[in-house]
Amino acid sequence: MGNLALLINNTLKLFIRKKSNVFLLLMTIAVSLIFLFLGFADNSQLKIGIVNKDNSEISKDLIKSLQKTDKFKIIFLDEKEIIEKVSRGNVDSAVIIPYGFGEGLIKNDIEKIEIISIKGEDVTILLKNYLNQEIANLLGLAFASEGNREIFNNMYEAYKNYPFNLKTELVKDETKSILATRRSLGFFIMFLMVNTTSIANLILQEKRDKTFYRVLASPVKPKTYLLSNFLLNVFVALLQIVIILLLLALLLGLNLNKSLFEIFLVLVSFAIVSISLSMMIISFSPSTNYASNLTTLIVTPTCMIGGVFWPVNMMPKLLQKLSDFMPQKWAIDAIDKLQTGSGFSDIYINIATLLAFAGVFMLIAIYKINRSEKMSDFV
Amino acid sequence: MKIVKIEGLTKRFGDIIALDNINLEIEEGEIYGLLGPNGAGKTTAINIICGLLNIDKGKIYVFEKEIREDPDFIKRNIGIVPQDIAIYGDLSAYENVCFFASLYGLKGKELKESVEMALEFVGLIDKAKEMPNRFSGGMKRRLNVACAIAHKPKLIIMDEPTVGIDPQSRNHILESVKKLNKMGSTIIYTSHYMEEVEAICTKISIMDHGKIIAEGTKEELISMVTDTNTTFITVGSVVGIDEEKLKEITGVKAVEINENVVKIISSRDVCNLDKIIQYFTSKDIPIKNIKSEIPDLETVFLTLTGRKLRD
Ligand SMILES: Nc1ncnc2c1ncn2[C@@H]1O[C@H](COP(=O)(O)OP(=O)(O)O)[C@@H](O)[C@H]1O
Ligand SMILES: [Mg+2]
Repeated sequence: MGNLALLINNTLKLFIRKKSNVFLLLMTIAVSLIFLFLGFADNSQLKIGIVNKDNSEISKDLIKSLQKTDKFKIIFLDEKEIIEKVSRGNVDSAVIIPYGFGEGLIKNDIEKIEIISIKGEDVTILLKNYLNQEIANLLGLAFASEGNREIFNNMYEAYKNYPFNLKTELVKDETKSILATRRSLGFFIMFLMVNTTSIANLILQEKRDKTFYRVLASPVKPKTYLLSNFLLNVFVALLQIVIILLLLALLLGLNLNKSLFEIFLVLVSFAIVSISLSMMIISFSPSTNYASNLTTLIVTPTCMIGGVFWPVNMMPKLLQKLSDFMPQKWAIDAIDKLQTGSGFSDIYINIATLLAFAGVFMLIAIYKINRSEKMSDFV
Repeated sequence: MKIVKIEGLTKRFGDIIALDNINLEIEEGEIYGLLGPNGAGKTTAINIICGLLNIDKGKIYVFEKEIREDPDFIKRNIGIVPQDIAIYGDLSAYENVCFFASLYGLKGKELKESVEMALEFVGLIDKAKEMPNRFSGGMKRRLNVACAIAHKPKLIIMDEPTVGIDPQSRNHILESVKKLNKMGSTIIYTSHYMEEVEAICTKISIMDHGKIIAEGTKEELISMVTDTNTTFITVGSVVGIDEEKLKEITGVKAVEINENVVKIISSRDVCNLDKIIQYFTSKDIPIKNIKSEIPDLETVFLTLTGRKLRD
């Protein structure tokens, strides 16, 4: 135990004495925040094509309320045009309000609104979120009026005249924050992968500088040494996660807070995947440079396929299938779910999958390290 | 007490036999020299004594304990100066010694004092706060020694500690070996510099190709080969001298050419000086000087292997 603490302390010293490492840590936080702000600064309007088959007062009002937010530009479409307009990019997405939507809503039995898009979550999440919020409110009225049309109409009038611009603003901000958070955490995840390798790489550096030899000649077991590196890696990752989540919570306020702990769990699970992957990379690398290059070679493409830079469902089907094998996808997916109101029960599969990835990487690393005869690789 | 005892040790790396049935005993209080050219197996032997390599065959006892019986105890009481400098360039000299000493269980005041003593001992106390990245080769070597001695080990192993340094740092290290020995540590010292081993070691093993080819004190080793004569012949120019032809002369065991001095080792009971001189005159090579000398360890090695220590 004493030696473990000494080794962790020493590795930490080695890590922070190198300016580039500290710089990278600061960059991780800075870049994540920059992408957060870029997400907020994005004020472009989304072009939404609408087919209203229902034509009830409720659905008309619903469309009007969409128009009232400055986020959406509404274009009315004929059902036949939808596919063409969406695929040509004339509209960012299309909404079909089904026949009998308003009537069904009063009876507390709604027809599903269909949203068509080829641009993926980034676009639809905002729309979905807004519609969900609005419909949830209307359903609340329907529920309260117990199917009585007169009561519903009275309440609906009152609801319409209620000065709820505040609420609209909130929804808009929330949606923006969801998109910005996801992008920000996506980049955070990518940087985290680079950072965990630079800590694991200290093992190779110590082999190269022969200090590893000297440590093994002392009463320190190789296991203890590897464990100390792993624990330091966990510690530094935790630090980064806590800092970025605190900053996000501070900047975004309540919006994130409701799932803060779950997001923390997801990021920690991902960090463990990343650390295990780093250990695996160094177990296969003959030199520190090799390990760094291999990391770059692995991190960038897997982040692309895993949905860090753009939503997975924007990619061709084959790549979408492939994305299931990228740990990043499971982390981002969990973050998306948590931000759109899902709870732990919806994401434990994601966490279990991430831990399984970590387990596999770790086993491969341990197998590889054990196979190289005690010192022969290093003397 | 026998600090190290090795019986029938064999170590292979794939097809290479690095150590071939080695037997060796090191008594407490000795400065034990392992002399041999590069690749003889010195470092491999040391890695095995330190418990860093598995062996193929044989028995090793350190501090009279079988090496696998209590590796922690053995490691705790050994200090190793590795052949390659093993220090952190980004940690100060003090932090380097302090970290390694702490791995051996030193704490608090005792740790601080031991570290300062070790730095004082190698003459680096003024540089304690400086980063070794900016040290000269000799200073790095001395720090390499300091990192091995702060925990006051019973056995100090130095693997070629003077490679590539200036004469001053070399003398400093050789003096400190003697001092450490006087202070009670047994020392194993490997080198391919015959003069170093001759100067400080109380007992010497000569290694070659994974085997110990001779063992004893300096005097014993030399007496082993005093059935030879060494003749130094200084010539104007060594151009045209054929070592192989010289070796064909009766009694000649080995020939070494150094600048314009030809060193010839012959059996003592053969009188061949006339034939040797005749060889030079037949080649029209003027002889400037002829001298005979008492053999040294270099001669011992040359006699036993037919090769020079350093190629
Ligand atoms: N890890 C290793 N893998 C393969 N061969 C090795 C290894 N270490 C040493 N050897 C070989 O074993 C022999 C002895 O090497 P070594 O003990 O380093 O000699 P020395 O220290 O006397 O110069 C050499 O032939 C060397 O090439
Ligand atoms: Mg060696």
